[in-house]
Amino acid sequence: MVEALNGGDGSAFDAIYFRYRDWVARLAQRICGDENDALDVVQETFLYLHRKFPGFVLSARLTTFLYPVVKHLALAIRRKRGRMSGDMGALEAVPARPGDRRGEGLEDLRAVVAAVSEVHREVLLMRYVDEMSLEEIATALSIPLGTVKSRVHNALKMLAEDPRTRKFFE
Amino acid sequence: MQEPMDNRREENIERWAEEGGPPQLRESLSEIYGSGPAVSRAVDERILGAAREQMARRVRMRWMMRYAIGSVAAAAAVVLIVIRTTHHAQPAAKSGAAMVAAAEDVNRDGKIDILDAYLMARSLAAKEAIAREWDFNHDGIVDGRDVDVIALAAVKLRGEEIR
Repeated sequence: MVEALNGGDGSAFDAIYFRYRDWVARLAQRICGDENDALDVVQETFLYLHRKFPGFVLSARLTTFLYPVVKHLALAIRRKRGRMSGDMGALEAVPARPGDRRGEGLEDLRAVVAAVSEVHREVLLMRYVDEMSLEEIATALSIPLGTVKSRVHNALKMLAEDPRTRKFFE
Repeated sequence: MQEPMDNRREENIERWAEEGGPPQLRESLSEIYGSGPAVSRAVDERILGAAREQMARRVRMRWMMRYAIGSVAAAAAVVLIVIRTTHHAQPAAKSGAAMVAAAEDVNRDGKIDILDAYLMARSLAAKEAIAREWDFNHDGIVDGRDVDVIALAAVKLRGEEIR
């Protein structure tokens, strides 16, 4: 698709958009914590991507390229709005889904994850929600692979040691 | 009993960090954070429309650039042709009488004509001070033969060599 778009095939962009739109929207909402802002981030992200063509060289998965773009734009919007005082605010603003099984500890998990430091929470969600590999996370965040591994490890350890979330490891 | 459990958990965490993670945790995290805002058709159209407009603008800009570069190149070519033409034309124009040399322009009026030959002949006849630079045929003396050189240059056709 990237090659087709580089060759001037405009419909390839539509295909890219529909393939990654929901992932971008989800990530944007996770960071900026507001649905409308998330949609603005989606628009800015894809227009930024579009401006890269022709001549765009993709050396990894597109999500690896898009992650820092979405993060940067979402944080910029969040700062601009001045709505959230800390990073936790955005995560707490993630709406509870209608099917939330509160009785099964999702609220506990949400609370514990929100209390984990930002750098640990980020890799945890990239790994298990965005399903990115450790290498992709390292590339997307521009940090060494060893750092990613240790952050994932520490994040899991924090959750495993917390009595409220220990059950998720059984 | 507690210690082996902890060791096992530690080992599992090690493995989960490298691999897929505890299944229950993954499912629960996805359930909490795995959904984003619904992107409406209107938003899709706005974004894709903006992208198309961006592309159209870029194509227009590319054509304008090509046109501008083409125009500049054409203008440069015209200037070059004009310069070359004038550059070649000038020596041709001067290759006749005017090219003989400034020294032949005895009366310093910017051209070599029969008047210069006449003035030189008159100076020779009057035995006035003769300039050494008037020795046009380079025979060491300034005389009537040098006047002939000017006269010949004055009546010579353009491009014709002086003999």
